[in-house]
Amino acid sequence: MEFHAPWDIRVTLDLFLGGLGVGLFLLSILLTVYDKDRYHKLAAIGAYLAPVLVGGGILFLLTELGRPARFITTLYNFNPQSMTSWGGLFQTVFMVLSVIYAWLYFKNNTSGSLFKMILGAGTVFALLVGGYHGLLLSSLGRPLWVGGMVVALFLVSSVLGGTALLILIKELGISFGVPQKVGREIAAASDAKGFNFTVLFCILSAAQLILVLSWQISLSRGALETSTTATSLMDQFGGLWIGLVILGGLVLPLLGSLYSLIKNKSSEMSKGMALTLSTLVIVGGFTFKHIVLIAGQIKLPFMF
Amino acid sequence: MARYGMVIDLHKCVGCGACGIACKSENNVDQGMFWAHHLKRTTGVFPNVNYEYVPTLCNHCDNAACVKACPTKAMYKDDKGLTLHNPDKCIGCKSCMQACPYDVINFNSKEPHIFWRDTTTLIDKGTSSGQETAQKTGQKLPYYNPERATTYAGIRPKGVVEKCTLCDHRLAKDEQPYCAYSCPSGARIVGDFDDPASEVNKLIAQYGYKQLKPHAGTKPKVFYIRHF
Repeated sequence: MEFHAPWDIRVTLDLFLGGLGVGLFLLSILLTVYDKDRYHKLAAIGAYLAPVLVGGGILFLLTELGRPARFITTLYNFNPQSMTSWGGLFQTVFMVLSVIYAWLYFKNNTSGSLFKMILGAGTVFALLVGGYHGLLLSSLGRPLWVGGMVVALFLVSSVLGGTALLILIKELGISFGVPQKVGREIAAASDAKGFNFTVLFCILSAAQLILVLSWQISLSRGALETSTTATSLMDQFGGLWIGLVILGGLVLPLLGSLYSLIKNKSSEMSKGMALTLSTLVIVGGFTFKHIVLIAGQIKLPFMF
Repeated sequence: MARYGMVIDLHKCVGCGACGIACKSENNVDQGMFWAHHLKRTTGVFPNVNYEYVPTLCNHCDNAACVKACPTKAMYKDDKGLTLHNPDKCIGCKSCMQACPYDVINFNSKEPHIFWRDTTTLIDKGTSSGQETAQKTGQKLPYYNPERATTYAGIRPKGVVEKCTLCDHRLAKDEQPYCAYSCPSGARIVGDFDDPASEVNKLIAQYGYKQLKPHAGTKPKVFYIRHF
C-alpha cells in the first residue's frame, strides 16, 4: 500500500528526542529525591541534557511546519480543543522549568525553596509533555493511534529511553558542568549501596513489553479499520518491528537485566551488558516511535 | 443560523468529473490537489460487474475534526455552518489533514503555479514547457479567478493547507457553488439543512441517504442519495 505521510521523520525526532529529554528529567528528579548528594553528578547531567533534547526535538518539529515562523501564534491563537495547542503550552513551560532546574544544578544551589518548587512543577510538566506526545496522536482519531494506549506506550518508552541514556552516561563516565569536588565525592561513594538502575531498567522494559504486546493483540482484534492498519504495519515494517522494537529493544534488555538481577539482586549490570542493552533500548525506542508514526498515517480505501 | 450542506444524487451522477474540473477553475486549485475529487470502486466478476463513482469534497462537518485539531483556530466554523480556513493563521502543521477522516485537505508543499514557470518539456523541441506557454499567451502570473479572492486567498501560498469552502464567495451572492452549477446532470444540490422546506431536506426525506464514514462521529453535511 503506497501512501504519502504528511508527517515525516522530523516529527518522530521531536517525539523521540522530547521523550528522551522528559525521561532524563524525571530520572534526574528521582535521583535528586533519592539521594541528591550521592547522585549529584548524574542528576546534574540529566538536568543539563533534558532541555537540550526537548528543545532539539522542537527544532526538528519547527522545520516540519509549513510556516515555522508562526509557531508562536499557537500560544495566543490557543485552541483549547487542540492537543497541539496544549502541547505548545506544556513544552514552553517545561522548557522554562527545565532550564531553571539545570541552572540551579550548575550553580550547585539544590537546597533552596525555588529548587523544591521546580522539582514539583517540573515533574508535573515533564509528565504532561510525556503524555502529550502520545495524546497528540491519539486525539487525531486515526485507527492505529486512537484509544489511549499510545499515550501509555509513548510515556513508558520515553522514561525507559531516558533511563537507558543515563545508564550509558554513567557507564561511559561522561561528565560536564559538574564541580570537580562533587565528582570526587561521588567517586568515593560509588561503591556504597544506592539506587539500582538495573531494577528500574528491568521493570520499565517489562512494562513496555506488556504494553506493546497488549496493544498489538487488541489492534488485531479491533474493528475493520484498526485491524487493517495493524496488518499493514506488520506487512510494511514487520522485520523492524519484531527485530528492533520487540526483540532488540525490549525482550533482550528485559532478559539481560533480569539475568543480572537473578545473579546478584543488589548489583548493577556489567559494563558491557549495560552499554549494549541501553543502546538497544534507545535504538528500539526510536524505531518504535517512527513506525507507529508512519504506519498510523496509512490511508485506507473507503466507500459507503 | 443556516447550516449549508450538499446532497449528491448518485443516480443522476454520470461520473464525468466536470465538478472536479469546474472546482479547479473556480478556486484556482493547483496541480496535484483536489478540493472536489471522487472515489471509484469496481466489484464483481464479468459479466456481473458493478462500478461505483462517488464524488467527494469537504463534508463541512457539524462536528469537524479538523477544527478541533487546528492549534491556531485557522480552521473554523462560520455562521452558515461552513468549515472554513484562514491561511493567515495557518502554521502548516497538517494536524487537520491527519484528523480529517475524508482526506479532503491539501497541503501546499510547493510555490503555487510552479508549472507555468517550469522550463521542462515533455518532448524536447516537440512540446512547449509551461514557461513557454505562459510567455506565448502573454498571460500574467499568477493566472487566477479573482472572484475567489473575495472571501479566501485567491491563490494559497506555500506552507499552508487549503480545502473546499463550498464556494462561500458564490453562496454570499446567492449563487450555487461552481461544482453544482457546472454539473451537467444536476446531481449536486446545495441548501440549508436548517430550513425544513429546503430542497436538500426534501430530497433526503424522499430518498433516504448515506454518508461517508458516519461512524467517525463528525456529522458530515454531504448526503448521498440513491445509487450510482
